[in-house]
Amino acid sequence: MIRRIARALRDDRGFSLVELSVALMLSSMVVGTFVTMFFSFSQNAADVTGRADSQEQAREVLVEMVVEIRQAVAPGPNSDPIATMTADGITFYTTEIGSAAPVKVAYQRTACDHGECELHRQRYASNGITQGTYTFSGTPFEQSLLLTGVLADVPLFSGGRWSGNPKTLSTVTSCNGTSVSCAFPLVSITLRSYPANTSEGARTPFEMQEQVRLRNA
Amino acid sequence: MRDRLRDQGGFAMMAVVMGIGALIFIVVVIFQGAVREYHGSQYQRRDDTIIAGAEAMLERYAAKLTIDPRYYQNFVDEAELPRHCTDPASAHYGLTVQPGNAWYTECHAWDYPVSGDYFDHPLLEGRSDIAADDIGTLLTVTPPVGGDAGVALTIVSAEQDFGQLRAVEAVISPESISEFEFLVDEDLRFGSGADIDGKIYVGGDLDFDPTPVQGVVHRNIYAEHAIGRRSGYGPPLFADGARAYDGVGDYLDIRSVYPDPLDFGNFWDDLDLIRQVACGGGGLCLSRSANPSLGLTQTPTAWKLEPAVSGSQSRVRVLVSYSNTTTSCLTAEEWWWLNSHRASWTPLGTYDVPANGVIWVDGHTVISQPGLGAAIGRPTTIYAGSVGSPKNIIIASDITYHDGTSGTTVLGLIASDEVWVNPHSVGNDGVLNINAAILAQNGSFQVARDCGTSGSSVLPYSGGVPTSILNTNGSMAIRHTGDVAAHFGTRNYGFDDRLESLRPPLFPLMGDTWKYGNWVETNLPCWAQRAGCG
Repeated sequence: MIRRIARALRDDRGFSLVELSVALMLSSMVVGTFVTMFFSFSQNAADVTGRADSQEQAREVLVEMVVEIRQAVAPGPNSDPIATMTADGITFYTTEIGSAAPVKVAYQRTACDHGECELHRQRYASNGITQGTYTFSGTPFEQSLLLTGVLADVPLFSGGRWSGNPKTLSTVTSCNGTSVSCAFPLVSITLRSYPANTSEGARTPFEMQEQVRLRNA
Repeated sequence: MRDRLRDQGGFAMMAVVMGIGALIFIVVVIFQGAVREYHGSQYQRRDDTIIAGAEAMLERYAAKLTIDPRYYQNFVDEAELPRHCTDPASAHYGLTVQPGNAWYTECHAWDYPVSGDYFDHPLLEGRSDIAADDIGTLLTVTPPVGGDAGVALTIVSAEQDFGQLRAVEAVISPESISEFEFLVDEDLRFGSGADIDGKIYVGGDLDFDPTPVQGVVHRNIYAEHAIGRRSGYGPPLFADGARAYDGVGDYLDIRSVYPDPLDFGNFWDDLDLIRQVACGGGGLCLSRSANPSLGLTQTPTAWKLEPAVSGSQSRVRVLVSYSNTTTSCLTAEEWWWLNSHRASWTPLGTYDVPANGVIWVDGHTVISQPGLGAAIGRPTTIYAGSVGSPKNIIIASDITYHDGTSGTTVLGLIASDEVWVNPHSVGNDGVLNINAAILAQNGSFQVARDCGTSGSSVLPYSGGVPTSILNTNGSMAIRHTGDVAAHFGTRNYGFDDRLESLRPPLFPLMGDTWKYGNWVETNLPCWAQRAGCG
């Protein structure tokens, strides 16, 4: 064994320049290919991760929205749980754990640029009761930017109620409580959004839908 | 190995090893993302399923309350924690009933001092081979308190394999027709200056005389046709945020609130339930055929009920009459409207108002007599007649609540035919006070004339104007409007706002199901937390 090692150390024959060049060229090509593949896969992995993160964030927003709308309450005996609703926004009153008074919550798709918008939420505290009906501060105690990249190509909110015989579900596209009633038991939410933190090529929108039954309506 | 190192093929091998390493890294990254996404979606799926399970058990309890409005008082539900009687007045004070068993009906207060096992309803089981999909539920029940008719439930739903739990609180209450100050199947018109505190629903037009004083409503009003369109009339003023709903488009769409017009025909099932509960469910059944124990040998033509309170006990003295008098202008039925006070009555007995407050009478029913009064001491509903044999209720005296209008006592007066006021019920003071939620299933609320529905009235007039005063405090559901204005110069229709949440026993409901109030997802109660609340 020792002799073999000694012989190997004595063998000082190296590579020729041509051999070395060919070997370097070939190995560069191989390494280059793998590096390209690696970055491509890394980008794909980052895109997948970014998309998953965006979906998770959107899902959290949607779940919170669903919980709040589901337990919406009328602020007074002559009121509805939903104050106003359009394709871009909804304002309603909902219960807050630990508080007897409801809070007013407004979700709004706004600040649109090239079809991509932001989703904001504002929450208003009750500031008293007038003739049996809760009143609310005009200044929100919380303003949040929930999502960016929200698409404006479909209505974010719509209402639904059953009517007729046999009963069929009709859609309410908007209401204001004065000329169009906001008394309906269903709210549909369609959230379409571009994922954040993805490469341009992977930037395709995802969509989430929920239909919420207002339990206190 | 040394040879391989010396061999130029080692470069290729290293490159391959690096490539494989890179691939493995990428696969691991992607796999981790997928696993995270999968777990997220599974968590979300379970969360949705758990909340759906809690809702399902709420629906189940509401359905039981629809069938038996005192279900909470009669049974400890299968999904309930073991219930412990804390009512010192109960003979079963200190005893505990396990889930799925009958409760002590006279025990009105309880708590849940010990924990229990989650109830696995068969419909909430997932795939048979995946136990983790099963939803278990546990609930606690708080009976109606104060002036509220609602039963409060706290439900905890769980998929225990994952330790995921969610809690929901809700109040389940009946949506009774007594919530309306006026529920009328046809047109309704109010005189000048009407000030209405409760909700109004009319099956036709609703109008208010604006001269000289426009009427005011403080609650929402609903008309199947128009509001204020009749010539000489107009809409009311809307106070306290009240809104109007109609069917012609002047106001908000009534169909947005009531998908179908309210139909008096739908109340018959609820009314028959009253009869069944009175005669087979612990109520007071005043019928010769349905209750032989009364000892009647012939069928009365009318019954008289004299409610009174003795000490803390609410009682009703029952008398029967066999009169069958007609006159030249009165039929035998009409005779009672005017002459209930001077008929020949035979005492039948004095009975405690039953715990469920339900009294059914199978004949025309007179409420007390002029000068005596009727004092109601506990929540009571008196129902006269049936769908096959409609009968009247004749109000022959003031009707008052023994504990005033701040307690929980309310009276439901239901005539399967009509509700009549015997004009002699207005005493020398010229005032008649009626505290009740009234339902005239087939007709109206009217004052009898000298000849039943025609002729003049025995009530006093001055210069052709009636001078008596009618004070009502309650609600009124009538199929047709009467002519009360012709007999009472002043009519003070008051709404007993306790009726917005307090329902006379088994008073008919708006729909088939009970409604939810204060439905809210909440923090886990102490009994559902592994570590308790410290």
